[in-house]
Amino acid sequence: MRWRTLIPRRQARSVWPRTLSLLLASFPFPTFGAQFAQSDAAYAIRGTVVNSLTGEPIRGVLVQIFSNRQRSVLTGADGAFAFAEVPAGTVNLNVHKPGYFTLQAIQSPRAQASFAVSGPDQPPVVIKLVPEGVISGHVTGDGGEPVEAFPVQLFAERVENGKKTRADIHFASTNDEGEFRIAELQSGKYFVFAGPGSRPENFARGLQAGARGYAGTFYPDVPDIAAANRVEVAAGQRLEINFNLRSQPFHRIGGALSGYPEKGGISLQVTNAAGQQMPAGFRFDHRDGTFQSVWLPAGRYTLTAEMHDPDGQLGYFASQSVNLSSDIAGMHLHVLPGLNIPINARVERTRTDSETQGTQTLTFAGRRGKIVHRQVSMPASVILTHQDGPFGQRGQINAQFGPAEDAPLELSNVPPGVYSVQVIPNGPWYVQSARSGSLNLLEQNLTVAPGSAAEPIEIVLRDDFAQLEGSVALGPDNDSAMVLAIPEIGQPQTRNVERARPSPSPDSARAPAIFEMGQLAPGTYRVLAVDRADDFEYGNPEVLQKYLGKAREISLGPNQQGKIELELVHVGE
Amino acid sequence: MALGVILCLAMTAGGWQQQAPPVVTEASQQRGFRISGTVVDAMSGAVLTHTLVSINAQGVRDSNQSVETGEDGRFVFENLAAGQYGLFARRRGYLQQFYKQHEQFSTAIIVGPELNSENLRFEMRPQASISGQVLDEMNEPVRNAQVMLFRRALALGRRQNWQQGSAQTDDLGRFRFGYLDPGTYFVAVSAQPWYAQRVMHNGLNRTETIGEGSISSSYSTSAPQSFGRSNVEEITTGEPELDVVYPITFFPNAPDIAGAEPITVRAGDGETADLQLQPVPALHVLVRTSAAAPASEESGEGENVYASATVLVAGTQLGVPMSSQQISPGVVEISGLPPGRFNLRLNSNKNGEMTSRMQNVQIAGDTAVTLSEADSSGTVSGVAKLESGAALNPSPMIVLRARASDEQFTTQADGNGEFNLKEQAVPPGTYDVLVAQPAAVAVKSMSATGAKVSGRSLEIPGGQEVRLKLTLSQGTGRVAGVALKDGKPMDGVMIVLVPEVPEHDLVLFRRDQSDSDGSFALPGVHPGKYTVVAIENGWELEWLTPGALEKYLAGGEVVRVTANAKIDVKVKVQQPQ
Repeated sequence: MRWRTLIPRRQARSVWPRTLSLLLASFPFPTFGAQFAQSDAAYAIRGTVVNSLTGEPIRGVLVQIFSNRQRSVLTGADGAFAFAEVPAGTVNLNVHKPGYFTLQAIQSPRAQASFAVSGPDQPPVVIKLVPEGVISGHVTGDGGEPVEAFPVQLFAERVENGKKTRADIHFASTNDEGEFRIAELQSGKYFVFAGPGSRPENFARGLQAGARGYAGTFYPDVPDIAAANRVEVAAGQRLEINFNLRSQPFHRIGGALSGYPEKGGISLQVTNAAGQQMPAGFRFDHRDGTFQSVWLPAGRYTLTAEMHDPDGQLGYFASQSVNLSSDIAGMHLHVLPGLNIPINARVERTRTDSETQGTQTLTFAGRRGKIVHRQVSMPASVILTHQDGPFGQRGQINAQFGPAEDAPLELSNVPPGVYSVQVIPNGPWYVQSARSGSLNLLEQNLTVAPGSAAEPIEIVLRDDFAQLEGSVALGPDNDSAMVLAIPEIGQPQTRNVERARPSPSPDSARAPAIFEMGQLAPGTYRVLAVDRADDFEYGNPEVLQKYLGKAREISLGPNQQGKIELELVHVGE
Repeated sequence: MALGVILCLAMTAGGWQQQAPPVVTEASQQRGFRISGTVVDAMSGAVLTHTLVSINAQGVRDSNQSVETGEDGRFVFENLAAGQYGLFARRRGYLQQFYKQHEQFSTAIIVGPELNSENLRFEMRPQASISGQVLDEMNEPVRNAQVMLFRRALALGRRQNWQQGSAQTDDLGRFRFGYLDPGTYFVAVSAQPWYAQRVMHNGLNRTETIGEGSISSSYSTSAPQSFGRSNVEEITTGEPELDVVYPITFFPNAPDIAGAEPITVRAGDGETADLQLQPVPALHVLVRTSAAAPASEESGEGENVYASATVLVAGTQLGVPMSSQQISPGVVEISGLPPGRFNLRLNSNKNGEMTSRMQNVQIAGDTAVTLSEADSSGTVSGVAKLESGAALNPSPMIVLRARASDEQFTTQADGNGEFNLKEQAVPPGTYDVLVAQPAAVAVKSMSATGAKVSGRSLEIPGGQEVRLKLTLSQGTGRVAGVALKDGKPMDGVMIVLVPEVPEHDLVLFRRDQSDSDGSFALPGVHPGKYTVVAIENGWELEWLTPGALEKYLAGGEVVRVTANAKIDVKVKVQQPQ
C-alpha cells in the first residue's frame, strides 16, 4: 500500500522499523489552509466510503483530515464517517484500508487527493476505494510433485522519465506445498516469472555430475520473456496461475580470478541473457583465486567479478560472457581497476548577479572515513546511468570529489560499460556542452573501456538562459497534464501541471493550468502538453514521433522569455 | 557422531562442518567397500522411492555423493574407501535428516574390513505442519502479522522452549509452518493494528523537573497535562481511541507461553491454530536518564537519545514494536507498548559517544521510569586470568547463561582480562559461567563477591554489585571409545560425559552418539574428572534434571582428563531405568 511508504514525520527509532514506519506514518499536510475568509464558523463533514466495483459500503476504513490537527476516524458498518466542528474551508481526506487502493494511488500519485468542503449545506462526500487484485497458484515439477521454496516474481512495465522499464515489483516464494500468493496488486498487466531457487533441490536432484534442476520460467511455462504472456489482473480479481515445470540438466562454471587485491570483499555474479541475476552461491578461494558457480541451466550468461580494496578505495571489475551447455572449468577472469574520470566544469557568465552561485559547503567522507568539510565550487552534478552491460545492477554513479583534499570533481571507480551522461546545473545556468574528447555527451553515450586512461569530461555552462511560460487548456476530463519542451539536441524538459485547486468560485473549474520552465538552453523547441504524465513513453523516439505533429514550435534566444498556449494532446493507448 | 549446525547442513546436504578430525587410517587406502540400505517411512514402515540419499566422507573435501532410491527404496554406494561417512536423506514431505538423527547427533557409517555397512534401515520421519489464520477484532484478516513458532522439546538434557521459526501472514491473515518435526509447539502473534494512531507529545515544560509517577491524565484536551511532577505542553496527533496496540498473543488467547495451549503435531500431520487479536490502549512511558539532570540541560544539547524495548520469550529477547521520541534532553517518550514486563534500553549518542542503559520493568499503565547507568538488577564485572596469573591473548569471551530462562549475557574481556556487563541488565538468578571463545579455554575455578559460587555456577541475589574472579584453564583433552552391549559394539547409543559435580558444572557436559561400529569421540573436553555413560534409547532422558543420571554413574567409566590427553574407554551400554 502506498501510504505505508510515506516518510515518517518524526524521526524515531525502533527495533522494528517496518512496523514503526507504519505507526508513525503521518500524512502530508495540505499546504493550504481554509480558503474561506477568516471566520470562526465550523461545520460537520460527513461521508461514506464505498467499494468502487460494487458500490457497497466498506466498514473499518481509516479516514483522516487535517484541520488545526490531524483527526482520524474509522468508518462504521454502513461505511459512514463524520468529523464534527471542522473550521470552514476545504480539507484533504486521506483514506486507508488494507486490500484497497485509493483512486489517487491508482491513477497517479500526483492526482488530486479526495477532499471535502466544510461549510453550510455541504452534501456528504462519497469516497471510492478500489479492491486489490490477487494472483495465487502452485508450482509443480517432475511427476506432479510440488516445487518448494521456489521464488515467484511479478514484473510490470512502467514508464520512468519517459522510458519503458521493467520493474520487479512483487516477490513471493512457494511454501512446502508448492503454493504461492501475491496480493496488493493494482489492476494491470503482469509477467509472472518463477525460479530459479537458491536451495539445492531446486537446482539439482543430485549433487554430482548429471545434476538436474528447474530453470527460471515465465508464464505460461516458457523460458524467456519474448514468448511470455502478460497476465491481466482487474481490480478485485483473484487469479490462479499455475506452473508445471520439467527438470533439465544443470551445469557449473569453474575457473580462476587474477589481479584482485589482497584485502577486501569479492562479489561474483551470474546474469542471464534477460539481465536477471542468478542466485548467489559462488565458492571462491582467496588463496589461489579459484571459483565455482552454483548449478545453472544451459543458456547464455555473463559472469561478473567485482572487488573492493578498502585501503585504496578502489574497485576492480571483470566480466565475461559464456554459453553454458556443459560444465565449464578453467575460465579465467582478470580484474582491472575501475576508472576515475575527471570533470572540468566551467561557467560562462554574462550576468553579474550570479557570482556566488554554485559554491556550497559539502560534507563527505574523505580518505579512511575522515569527515571533510570543504567549500567547493561544484557548478554541476554529473550522473552516469548504465545502459545495459553486466554492471547494470549498480544503477547510477554520481560525481564526487576524489579522496585527496584538493582533488577535483570526478566520477570515481567507474566500472567498464556504456553510460548515458546526465548533467544537472547547480545554479541558474544551462548546459551548453558536455564533451569527452570528440564525443558529444548530450547526444552520445560514454563508453568506459577497462584498463584505458579516461579522458576528462568537459562541461560548459552558461547563464544567458531562456525561459518559457504558458498555459494548458485542460478540458473537463483532466485535472493535470505534462508539458514537454523538446530541444533539437538532447533530452526533453518536462513539467507536470495541475489545475488550480477547486474553490467556491464556479469559474475555477474551467481555468487553464499554468506552467513555467526556466534555464532553457537558447534554441528552437517543440512544445507539447500531454494528458498522461506517468506512462507517456517520450524517451522512445517512435512514440514521440507520433505526437510531434501536434506540438507547437517556439524559438528562444539568449535571455529571452517566451510565452505559449497549448491544447491538451491525448496520448492514451 | 556430532553434527555441525543442523540448519546449515540441512541446506547444503552434506556440505556440513566437521567437528571430528579426519579419520584417515591405513585401511582408507583400501577401496571396494559399500554402504547400502533401504529408506522407509518411520511411521508406516513403507519403502520410500525417489529419495535422495547422500554420503560424505568425514574430513574429505568434495567427497559428497548422492543416489536416488529406486522402486524398492534401496540405495547403494559402491567402491568406497574405508572411513567414516555421514549418511543423509532428503525427500519431499519428510524432514531432511541424518541416519538415526537425534538432536544434533547421528550415527555415522564406519566403513572398513570386517565392518558391516550394508542393509541399513534408514527410517525417515514425515514432516508435520501448523497453519492458521489471524483475524482482528472486526473479524478481518491481519496482514503482515509476525507469527512466531516456539518448540518445547528436550534439548541439552531438559525440556525447554525455544523459538523455532517465524512467518508473516498473507492478505488472508494466513500463515503456515511446514517442515516441522513431530512434537509440541506454541504459536504467538505480534502485530499492530493497521489503523493505530499514536498520541504524541510535542514537548515538555522545561522549567520543571520530571520525576517518577504516573501519567494519569488523558490526552484529549489541549490544556497542559500533569506528567509526573512536570507539565507537558500537550500537542497531539492521533485520536486516543485509535491509540491502541495488540499485545503479543499466544494461541489460543494468552499473554505468555505459560498460559498458552501447546499444539502437539504428529509426524505427517497438519494442525490448525487460528487466533483473534484484541486491541488494548497503548501505554506511554516517559524514560529519562538519571544522568540528564534538569539543571544540566545545557549539556544535554546535542545528545541524541532513543529507546527500544524487548520482551523475553523462551530465552530470546524479542523486539517490541513501539515508537520512541526524544521530547527534551535526556528524556524520551515511548509510545505504543502493551502492558507487560519489558527490558527498556535507552541509547544515547552524545558527540559520538554512545552509552546504553537498560532496565527490566513491569508496565501496567502510563508511567515514568528513570534509567540509571548502574542497573539495580545487578552490575556484574570481573577479571579472567590463566592459572599463571597472565591474561589470555586473544582475550576470552565470557558468557553468563541463565538457567531459568536460557538467556545469555556475553561480554568480551579486555587485554588485562577485565570484563563487565554493566550495559546489560543481569537479573537475579542462577547462572552458568563459561568461556565461549577461544574454544580450548575453560573456567577452572572461580570466586565472587556479591554472589554465591558453586563450581562453575553463580547465584546472583540482586541488589548489589557482583565481582567475579575467574581462573582459566587452557587446553583440552579427548575422550574416545566404544559402546558395548553384551560385549558387542552398539550403534545409536547416547554417550554422556558427566562432570564430577553435575549440578554445578553444566558447562562441562559433553555428549555424542555411537557410530555404526559402536565408536564415539568427545573432543574438546576441559581438564577434570568425569564419568562416561552409555544409555540405549536414552534420547528422551532429561539428563540435566538433578539426580537423573545418578543411577547410571555406577555402570559408567571414570576418566581423568588433562590438557592434550587422549583417553580411550570401553563403556557398557545401559538400559533406561
